[in-house]
Amino acid sequence: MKRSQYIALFLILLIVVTAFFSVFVKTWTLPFTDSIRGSNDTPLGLTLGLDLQGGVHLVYETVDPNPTVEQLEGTIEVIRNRVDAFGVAEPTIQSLGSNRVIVQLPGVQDVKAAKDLIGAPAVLDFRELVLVPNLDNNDEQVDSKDDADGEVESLKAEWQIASSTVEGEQIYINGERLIPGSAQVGFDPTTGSPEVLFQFDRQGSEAFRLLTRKLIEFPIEDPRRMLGIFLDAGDEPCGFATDINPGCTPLLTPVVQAEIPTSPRITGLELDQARILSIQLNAGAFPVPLKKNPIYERDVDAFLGADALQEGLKAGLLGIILVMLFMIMFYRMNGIVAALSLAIYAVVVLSIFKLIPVILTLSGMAAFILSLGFAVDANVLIFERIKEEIRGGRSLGSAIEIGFNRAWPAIRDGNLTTMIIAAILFWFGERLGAGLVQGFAFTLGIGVLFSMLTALFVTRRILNIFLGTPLARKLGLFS
Amino acid sequence: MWNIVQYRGLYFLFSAIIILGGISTLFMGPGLSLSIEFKGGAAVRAEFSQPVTQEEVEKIISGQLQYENGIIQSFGNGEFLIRLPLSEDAGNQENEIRTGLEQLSPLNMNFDQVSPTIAKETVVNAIIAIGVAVLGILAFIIYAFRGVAHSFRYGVSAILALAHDILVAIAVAGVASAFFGNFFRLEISSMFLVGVLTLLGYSINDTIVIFDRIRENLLRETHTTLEETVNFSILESMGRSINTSFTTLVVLLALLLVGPISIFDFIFVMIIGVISGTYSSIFTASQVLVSWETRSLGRMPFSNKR
Repeated sequence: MKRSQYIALFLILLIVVTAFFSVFVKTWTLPFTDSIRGSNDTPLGLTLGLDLQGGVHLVYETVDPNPTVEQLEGTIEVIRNRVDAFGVAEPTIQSLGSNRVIVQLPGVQDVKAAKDLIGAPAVLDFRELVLVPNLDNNDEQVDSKDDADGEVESLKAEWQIASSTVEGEQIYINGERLIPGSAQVGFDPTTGSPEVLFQFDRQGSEAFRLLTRKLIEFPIEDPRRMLGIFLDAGDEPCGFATDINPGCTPLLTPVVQAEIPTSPRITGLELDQARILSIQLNAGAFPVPLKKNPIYERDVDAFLGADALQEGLKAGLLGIILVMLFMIMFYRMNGIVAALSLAIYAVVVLSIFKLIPVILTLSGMAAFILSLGFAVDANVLIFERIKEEIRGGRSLGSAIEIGFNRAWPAIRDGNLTTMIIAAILFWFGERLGAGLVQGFAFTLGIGVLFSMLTALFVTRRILNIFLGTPLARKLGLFS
Repeated sequence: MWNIVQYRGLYFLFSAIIILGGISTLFMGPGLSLSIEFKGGAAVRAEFSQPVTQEEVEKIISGQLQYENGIIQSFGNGEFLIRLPLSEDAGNQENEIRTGLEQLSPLNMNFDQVSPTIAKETVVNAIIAIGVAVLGILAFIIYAFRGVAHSFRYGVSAILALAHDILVAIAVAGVASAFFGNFFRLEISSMFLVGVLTLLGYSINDTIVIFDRIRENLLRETHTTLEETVNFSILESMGRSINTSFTTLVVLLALLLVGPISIFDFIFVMIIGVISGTYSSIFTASQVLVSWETRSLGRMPFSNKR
């Protein structure tokens, strides 16, 4: 063997050992950096996608169909704040197109809580009851009084966002006046029930104090002495007592007892509700609100995910063994070399998955297993050519040489078409099946590229080892 | 020498019967349907430990909760798939169904919800993706075979073989769901589409192997007529064409036997498509090419005409 061949073999060996090490050692730190690869909780330390470890996959759309990039990014930031505060490990939150957001929450099983947390704008506002002329007689009448002319004018009460004039400026008392980060869950000292505490900013506190001073002017039995605390009621006034519009049911309607110089508490909540509300108030307001319900939802049970992973690993192992057996049966010595290259291929690709790291999804796993079948195709084409050339009376050396050269155009063309498809799938992936297709496309692309490389270079180098040995004269072994 | 090419008319007839027969099952009652990813709606997969009957589930969904137009499918092993149109308030619908099914104490429940807007977009994007894929492959083959006369005809013949494979996969899936729909679930889902697109890239490989041989033999002028050259090339490369498909079939069978059931759509399409792809590279792509070049469909067996 020539010196260059030794170097090539040494390089292959080096890559294989490195890849083997990186796959079978579950976690390690990348050299010269602090980043850690792998995980102790998964098979081979692979990074698992939602469909293999369980969790929720949601796609939200903004109410405004054409938000600016900054608005969408800001909204993603708010969602991230909320999700982080909720305590979800390694969420994926990213934009999808120009007006959508993908939220992936691995390991989350309480889908309802997750959706409550993310979708709602969580805009808090404080309202007062105002009497307005009743233009629609079907509405309930709260009060009617005689006009100066003696005519009876029908009136109705509605909740309007309260405002006070502070230092000559009209200040609306709503979520914008909250000091970010001030919200927290507390417990009522007497009843022990959960509540949300927060702080108004200076102008907000003053406006609130002035509002309460105004409300205590009403007699205690007058409904107008109530303060309405609303969540996500929108900008329009809400009807009193019954209003079917979403959000128009007040969270609370305390009767104001005295002038309140500080900030109110929101009581009467469930613990979960209190926790989610405080997280939402702290995370800030959406620059552009989302539609309440996700437009796409997919949730995977953790047990089903774990099952799918086990089944996938089993299928992969069975697949690779069957392919190896087939190759050895059909191509003997060449087949053994191809089986070895296939094992190298599998380990190298798995190590690439860990190195980047690629998130392994169910469809990605399918693509990888499928690629085990594709990977030997190039070898099949080459070996058939080698057989042909040996039958034509050539020595092993020149048969290998010519076999590789003649098979190359078909291998190149065949693999390029699959890579074209992988590229198209990747490109469309985010608009098909809400991003689930991309994992497949990426894995398929990597698989086809590396299978071609191993089939061409690794198989050839190993086959060349035999050339100088007595085995090379036993042509039957190679054809 | 075994003359495969002469009966090409027969192969086209055979393919047409399978495709038309299979596709017609799609229009006969419940069979292969679109998944909610393509038509929108809600799908609930629920698994129960204790024996639960279809009636019990039906009673909750359409009786207690009054959801109409639902399809409830049972897979025997305590596993149910419930498909419903999406209500106005999807969040509330999900909560109601969750609470409703809790009465039967399920082991697990999984919800998928797709709004009609995103479903419509998915359909459009799927069609565009297939279109772009087909055009990309056509352009690539015309370019790769620029050395031979009429490389355009090679490209179109290969694309016809691809269309053949996709149609056969859909036809067989249609027959399978029409007759065995109670034993497994098969729908046109995004994994089905992924299978179709993967096939577009993969089943073309067999065709390329044979076309590559035809190209080589034409340049070497091994035979005098195109018919003979193609026939010789097919016979020469049939073995490897079958073997490359076989290695892929082997891993697909491993996936089918022990792999995750949730990608069944994908495995099914791939298995049928890979088999059909091997067939079509020999009996469709090459034969279309010969028919086009010679303007003749060959002859039928048992006929004296030539």
